[in-house]
Amino acid sequence: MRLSDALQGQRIKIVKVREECALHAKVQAMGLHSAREATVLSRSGRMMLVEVGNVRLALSDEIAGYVEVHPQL
Amino acid sequence: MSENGRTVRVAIAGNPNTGKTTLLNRLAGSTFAVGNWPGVTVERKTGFVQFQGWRIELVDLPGLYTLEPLTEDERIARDYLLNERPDVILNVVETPRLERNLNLTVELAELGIPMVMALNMMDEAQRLGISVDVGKLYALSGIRAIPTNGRSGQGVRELLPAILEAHQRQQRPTLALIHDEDPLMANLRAAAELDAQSRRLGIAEGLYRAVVQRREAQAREFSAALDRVLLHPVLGLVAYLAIMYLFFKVSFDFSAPLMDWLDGFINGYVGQIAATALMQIGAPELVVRFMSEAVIGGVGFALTFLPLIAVMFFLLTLLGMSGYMARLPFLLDRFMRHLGLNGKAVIPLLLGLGCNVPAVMATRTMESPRDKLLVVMMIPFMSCPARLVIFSFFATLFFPQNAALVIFGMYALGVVVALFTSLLLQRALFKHESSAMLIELPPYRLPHLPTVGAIVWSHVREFLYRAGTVIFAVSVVIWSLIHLPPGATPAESIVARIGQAIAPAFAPLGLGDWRITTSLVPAFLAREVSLSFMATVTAAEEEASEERAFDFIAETQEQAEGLLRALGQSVSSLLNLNLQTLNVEEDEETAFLRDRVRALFTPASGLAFMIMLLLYNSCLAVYGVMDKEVGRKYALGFLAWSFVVAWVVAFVVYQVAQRVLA
Repeated sequence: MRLSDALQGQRIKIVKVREECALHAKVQAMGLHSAREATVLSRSGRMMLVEVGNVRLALSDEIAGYVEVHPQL
Repeated sequence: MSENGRTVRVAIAGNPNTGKTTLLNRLAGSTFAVGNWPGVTVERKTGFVQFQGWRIELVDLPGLYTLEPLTEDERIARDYLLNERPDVILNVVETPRLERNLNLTVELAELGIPMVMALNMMDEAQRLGISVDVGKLYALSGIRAIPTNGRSGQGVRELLPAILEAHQRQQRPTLALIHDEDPLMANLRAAAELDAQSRRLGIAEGLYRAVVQRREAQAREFSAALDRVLLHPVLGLVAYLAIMYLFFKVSFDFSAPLMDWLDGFINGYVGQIAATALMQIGAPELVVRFMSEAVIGGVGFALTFLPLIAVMFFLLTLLGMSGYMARLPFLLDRFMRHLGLNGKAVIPLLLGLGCNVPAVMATRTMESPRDKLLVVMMIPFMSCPARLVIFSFFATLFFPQNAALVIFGMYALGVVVALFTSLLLQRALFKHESSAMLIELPPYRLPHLPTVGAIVWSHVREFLYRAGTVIFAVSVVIWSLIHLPPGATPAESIVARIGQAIAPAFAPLGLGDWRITTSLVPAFLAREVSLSFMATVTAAEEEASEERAFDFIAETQEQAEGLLRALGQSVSSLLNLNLQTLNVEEDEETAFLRDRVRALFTPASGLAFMIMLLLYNSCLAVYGVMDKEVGRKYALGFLAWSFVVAWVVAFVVYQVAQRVLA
């Protein structure tokens, strides 16, 4: 599934960031890269708030759509 | 290596919002603006420090996450690192978020430049139970790390010997020489088959695991709890509106008594002292008039608005340093999206309430040139404190019962015209949608009051500088022109002739008097100059008042008591949640100016005048920075557009208001 499909409160593990994403390098450097676990804290319109470790990132659906994730229990 | 007579060039590089500028300010004694949102620094800033016979040049670079730049500010940082090759890199990392920061560290290490690391915000890391083995970090990476706390200054001075040592010994990062048994090595092996970036990420992760220990600690839930309210789709908006209301309420109500006092202090006290002193030394009457009309009347009048400017910058700095401003793009994106804009546009637009110049520069953080251009074209319509000076004067003069409402209306009108401009540009030039958005939300932080004070002081200093240069120069030129040709009355002067020549263009707005039209011309240099102009002209027209006895001790005592009273009123205004009017009491010193302005304007033409100064391009400095950021074509286009839209809106409002207010 894609990060953009994740629900509020859901914990996910990042599989990869697809290279078609224009912000591919930046997304990964900001902490969203393979094997990292993250939690979707909230959603507002096209935006979602994701916590990765101690970092909180706000990203739009356009970017989240390029991030492949596995849901975690 | 460029060693020019014992100089070391140090690039301060790191992720955004890691405290790079705070460290520069600490090391070099500078007062560059700092904040708690990514993108405070959008250009190179340089400071110098002498240490052990060396001149250390510290170049603070805009924050970046990778050396693959997407935005203009990131490109500035990357280009400096790659093309100008500093002698040493001071990599400033946010220790509580070290894992993410190390991604860039690894990339910087590949440049092969001697490097020192500042483990900044160490106090916050300790509260989170995070400790870093700096010895192991050095052994694994060849990078000497110094724990620092930019806010308190702890550890900051230790950076200088480390920088010198790295330079003299050419201590380059040695990430390739890692011991076999370290987890980093395992990650290196696993990453060997991957692409360059994945390899870097693997190294960074391994390095993090090797040097960082996290013990179970009560993680700070403060930011999370606040975010649950402030980023809530409904509660967050209510909180935003409440914060904005308080922002303006405190700005107006706290500063009003102090402005009132300053008004009397400059005109009634300083002016009297100057006039008495000049007369006692037998100065010619022309010199006495110059002092009272050009200096006290022009410059002094503008200075009375200093409290308003200081309070507004104080509050804006609090918003920025607390971390709240960084959250507004997330909170307001869905609204901005409906208007075809990116949520990131909120920060430059909000900064525009402080000053349009840094606001235009802040658009460098926007990834899309389309979004950047749209926001740049909106910013000059955001009302800055210089325009607030005009609004507060006219609103209290013509609408004393509804001054706050009129001022709020001006701000709202600016926002509406900005949005209209953006929508028009989107329809005409940019049909595709706004770009994607990715931002980091920093934790909430209690603003460090000495730093806030330093930032406010830098803005106050800038205003004083403008008063002492631009406003003074304009006042002197205008005063001279009012008295030319020799022997002419102000109505026959050169200034009057210039004003009369352009008056027909503004007559349909009710602004046909030469004193008004001429004041619009220097307003292009700085908005508040228009009021200084009127003060100078009316002072020149005023009959010389009778000399009155000046008791220095009694007057000084009265001023001191007045200041205490004003401070008391300012503080007590904070206890009242209702927005009171900006009631600047009239005193005899400025009564003449107010009477003359009342005679020159009607309430309707007063509104038209405010609208012209609100909407017609904010000032020369903004035009200059627009030219630099989006090119001359768009900057000139904006000048023409803003004049047309200002004239049309002022005309409509004047015509309607004339009938309604008659």
